[in-house]
Amino acid sequence: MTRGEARYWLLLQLAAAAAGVGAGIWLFRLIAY
Amino acid sequence: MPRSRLGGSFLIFFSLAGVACGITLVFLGMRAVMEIGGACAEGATPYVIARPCPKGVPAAVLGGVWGGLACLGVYVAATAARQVPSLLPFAWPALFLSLGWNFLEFGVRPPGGGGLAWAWILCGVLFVGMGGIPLWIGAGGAARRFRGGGTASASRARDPGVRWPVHVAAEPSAAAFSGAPESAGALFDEPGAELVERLERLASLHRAGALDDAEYRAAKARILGAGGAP
Repeated sequence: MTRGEARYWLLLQLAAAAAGVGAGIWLFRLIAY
Repeated sequence: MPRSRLGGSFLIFFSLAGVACGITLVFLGMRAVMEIGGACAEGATPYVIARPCPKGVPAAVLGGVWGGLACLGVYVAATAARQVPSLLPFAWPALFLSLGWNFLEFGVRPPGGGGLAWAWILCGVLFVGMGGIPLWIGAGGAARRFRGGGTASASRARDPGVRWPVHVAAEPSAAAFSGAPESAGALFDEPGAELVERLERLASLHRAGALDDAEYRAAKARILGAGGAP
């Protein structure tokens, strides 16, 4: 795996983790408040 | 971008987002329960429920646990099948450090007031240790794999404690070396590929039996003869 590919997957997965946290906060407010 | 890589990207993105979403739901659900004293009950029971759960919290926590686990399974399979570096070593620490934070925060400032809640502080220390120690041990290896510049097997050689699945099927087919000079040329002339990486790929084909000894020697001589120049 080249450095460019590794950077692509790292950024993709960091973005996914951030999006997941955001979705979790939104979902919790939707169903628990 | 190849279509298969695009599909893999979507799968990895949404499965990892699901894992993070699940951990977040558990984290927030735990806080909601701790706000009312740390315990609650819900559902049909012969006993009188002294403290009902906050609205929607049981669903959020249960959904977070099981949905997160399901997404984790998909994420692990998707990254392993594509030999993509994975954030999996951070999942356990993320869960336990976040829940440990809740224990410590509410242990220091209990919702009812009145000093420290030592039981929660003890749980917090335990959880922080359970999350922090694996993070301390495993974070370096996980971060190294995201630096790139080598193959999965090269990463594994640098970090023998971490198992990394190598799928021979993902390597170039034997046809690239026998009777298909264009394909072989494409392999050797791949832009940006490094000499060591090419030799490793060749050796893995040889080990898998796709190349016999003579073919392996010929291909190796060709790579070395080219001096690794792209």
